[in-house]
Amino acid sequence: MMNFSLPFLLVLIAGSMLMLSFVLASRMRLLSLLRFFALQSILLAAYAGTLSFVRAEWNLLVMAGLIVVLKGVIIPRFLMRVARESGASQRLESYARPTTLLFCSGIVSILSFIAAGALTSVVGSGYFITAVSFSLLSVGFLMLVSRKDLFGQIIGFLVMENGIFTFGLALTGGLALLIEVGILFDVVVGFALMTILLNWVQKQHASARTDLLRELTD
Amino acid sequence: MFISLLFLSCLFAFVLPLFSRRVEAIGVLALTGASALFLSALALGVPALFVAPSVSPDGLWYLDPFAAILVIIIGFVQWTATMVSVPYLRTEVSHGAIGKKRVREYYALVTFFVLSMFAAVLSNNLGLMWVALEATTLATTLLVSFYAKEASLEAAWKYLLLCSVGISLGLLGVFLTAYAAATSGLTGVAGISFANLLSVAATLPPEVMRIAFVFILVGFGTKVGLVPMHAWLPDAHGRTPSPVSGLLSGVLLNVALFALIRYKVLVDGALGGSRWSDGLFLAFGALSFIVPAAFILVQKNYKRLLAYSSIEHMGFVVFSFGLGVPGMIVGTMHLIGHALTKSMLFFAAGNTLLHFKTTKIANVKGVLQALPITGGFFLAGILAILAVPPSPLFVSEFRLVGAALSAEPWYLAGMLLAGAVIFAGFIRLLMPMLFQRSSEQPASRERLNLSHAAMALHLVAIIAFGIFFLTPAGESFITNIIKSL
Repeated sequence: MMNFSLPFLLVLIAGSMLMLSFVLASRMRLLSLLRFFALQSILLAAYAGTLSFVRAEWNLLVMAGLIVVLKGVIIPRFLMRVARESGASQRLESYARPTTLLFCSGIVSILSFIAAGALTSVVGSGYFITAVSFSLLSVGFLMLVSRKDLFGQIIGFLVMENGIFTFGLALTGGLALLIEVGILFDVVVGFALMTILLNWVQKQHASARTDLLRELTD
Repeated sequence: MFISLLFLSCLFAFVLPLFSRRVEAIGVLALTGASALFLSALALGVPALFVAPSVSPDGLWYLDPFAAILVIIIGFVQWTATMVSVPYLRTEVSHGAIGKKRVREYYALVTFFVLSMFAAVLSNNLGLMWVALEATTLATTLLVSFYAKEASLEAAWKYLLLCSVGISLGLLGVFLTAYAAATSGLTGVAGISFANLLSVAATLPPEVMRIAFVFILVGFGTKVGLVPMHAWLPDAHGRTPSPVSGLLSGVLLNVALFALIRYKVLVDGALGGSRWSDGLFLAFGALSFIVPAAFILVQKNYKRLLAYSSIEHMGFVVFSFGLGVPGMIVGTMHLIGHALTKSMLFFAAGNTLLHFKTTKIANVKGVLQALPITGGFFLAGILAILAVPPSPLFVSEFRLVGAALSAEPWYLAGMLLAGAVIFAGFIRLLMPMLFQRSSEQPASRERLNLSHAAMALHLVAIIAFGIFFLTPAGESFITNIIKSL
């Protein structure tokens, strides 16, 4: 029988989140992008939940619940609804082809693994988890700069946030609950504002492409 | 106790404008709220300027003279900005540029913005400080996109996305700081309380704090507008309704810088000296001072020109803070002077925009002819921002040359060159705008309104501080603020 210990489970979850971020970086259909994002967020919640058992810190369970509800259910559904109601195209656009994006995410992920090596020598957190969270951060950033439409950019930002949460959880096991909730609240309000702006842009241009937003340059 | 009073006043100022539907009445109510807020900021800030730092009994708030001076600046500028907003919004509603309903929305957002700035400056808990700083971005996004035109949407999108990404990286720094505190024996809430961290600063693991500070510098530096993370700033500050531009440029940038300095104190404590962080401050500061000069010289839009000038001045303050105690005195003087001057300039730019209906420099001629009062304040503001005595910026820039000449001659040489370019840019672009005669006679004479009172208050404060900083009393006043850091 396999030795299925809790720390191993943590690594397994983190690894799956990393794989999902590659899928996310190269998907071009809004619906599947949102489904995979929801799955990644649920994995993040599972990570927080498992961690609460490892460290016997029960307030992490509250965090896990909030992450499932907000990032796993509400945010993807809401974005889907906005897309449907504003008549946005299901097909998203990017500056590069999906295979190129996949290749680039591989590269930035390798770089993150190298950078995490330097960090874990000073910080006592597990190497793999740190590396995964840095990879999520950089793949999310890649999505942010490679996507042409506002939907893709929003999801890229949310993937980055997932990376930061993974890192924060691994490192400190959470700050005080109140602060965590405050941070999550900021993320949700930020997301809501992004959606409002997206909706306005969609209404004015009948498209959510960012190359329509090119007026302000010096 | 005065802290609770301050937050109660915020609530008061938030609720009050909701009681009316008429634009005129909303303006009066908002002004009442803003005045109460200013008074309570004074009640909190002024006594705290002269006493040692203190933590509130519940451990949530930390008030030192440096925070106190920012509380007073926030309180003052939000008061004058509301004074300017009243006639500004009245004009915009009568032109049909915005609907009547949006006036209340505007005041509610401004008050929430001011509240989050107060919270960021006063919080002892570094996590709360992060939440409050992000809240300032969230509160102002809808103000940047207030006109809901294409360009304002673009500016708001850039602003929200870049600042959120930046500050998310800052969050990594907060987590690392909490981790560092845990290795020094502080866990949970105690580990992110500034007062506690300060007391154990010398035992914090230096390597962790170094990495944390790099994240903080990039993250919070985005909000300060440091080059190369400044791309959002000219757009956002240029597109926002002018009274809010004044608040963003004059106050919010300083609040973000304040947060950065809090962490600098910690990392300096952990490293046992400030050489490392000073080096970063000098490099980022000089870069942020020099790069905008090129954009100022060829700028076509006067509000963007003022925004680039804010980047340059924040660069100046950051650079000064990298020069040890003499530099910190210079930086604090400059911070105060810039806050007062830049917001006044944006107020004047707002009146100009209302009259000429364009922000293009080429399309505005004869401001002094058409708007003699606003034009006069505009001119005085330009002279003050260019450090013509008795501006407080004259004192700080003159002192910086003294402080940096022997320590950092190369940086200083580059900055003086950039300073000359900036001076030339301001004179070249704005003087024709003010003095050129246009052939058409103005339809009516400019009438005095609240916005002129606000600018007059700023001008009085600028001159008063300019003279005060020249005296030994002024120097010891600022030194006292610095010593508490």
